[in-house]
Amino acid sequence: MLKIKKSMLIVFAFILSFTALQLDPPSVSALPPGTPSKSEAQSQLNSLTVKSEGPMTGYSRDEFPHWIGQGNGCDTRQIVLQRDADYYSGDCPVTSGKWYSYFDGVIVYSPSEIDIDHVVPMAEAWRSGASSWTTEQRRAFANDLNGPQLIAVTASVNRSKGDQDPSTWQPPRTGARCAYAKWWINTKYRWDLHLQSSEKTALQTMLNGCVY
Amino acid sequence: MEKLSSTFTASHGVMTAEVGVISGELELRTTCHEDGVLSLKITYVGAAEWYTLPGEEYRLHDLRDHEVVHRMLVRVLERG
Repeated sequence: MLKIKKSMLIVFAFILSFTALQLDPPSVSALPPGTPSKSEAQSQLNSLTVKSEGPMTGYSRDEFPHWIGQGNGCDTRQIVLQRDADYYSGDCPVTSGKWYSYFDGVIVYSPSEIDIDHVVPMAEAWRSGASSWTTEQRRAFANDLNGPQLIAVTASVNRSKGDQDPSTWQPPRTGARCAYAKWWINTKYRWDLHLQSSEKTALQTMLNGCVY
Repeated sequence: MEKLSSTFTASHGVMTAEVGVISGELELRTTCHEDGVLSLKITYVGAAEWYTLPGEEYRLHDLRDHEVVHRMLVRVLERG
């Protein structure tokens, strides 16, 4: 009797540890807040307006004042750099640390190799609704720490992504595509941006690959 | 100094020095200086800022090649 109980306990402990492993992200690194569940992302995707992209007339990065001061000498970039680090030293600016770049799975130790990616790029936002916003709204979008719109990734993967949407660019690490789709959908949903049909098709395919 | 400009669609994007890949309706402007030095700039059609294409110190040995080089670049970037 005692023996059975003990082995059951072991099994139970094993299941518990396995569950904990599954719930934790692959790395200890922090990820952006507000990642929706698969079903939430699906209903958000369903509610987005499908529309062809608007022109880039008048666009410049200056229309989206980004990396604004966040207090204590830190700007938005530094805040995300700290949030997404496994560890770091130096306050603002951060001088070194360890970052796991979610899109490409690369680990780097220097902040100079890290970019803060706008999951929905500013140029993409411009042609999907932000051209009619006020500068204040664009400032809030470009410094959005409340949702999954900013993430620390390698400068090289950020450059190869550029302004593209999920119909032409997806993270090279296939394991990152589910979360990427959720972040993209959630950002467009929260900021009331529209999307093109090719983009919607790509997002649906990516979302179908999500387990939860 | 001669400036040539063309618009084209880059559905899969063009790499720039400042902002990484840009895509969509783009405008390429090539400027050929009297000494043959060629500068390459690119923007979104109608946008308010220009970006630099990677590479520098391109120099034409014959200024008359500017137009051919410009057209060739557009075709290559379009295909990108």
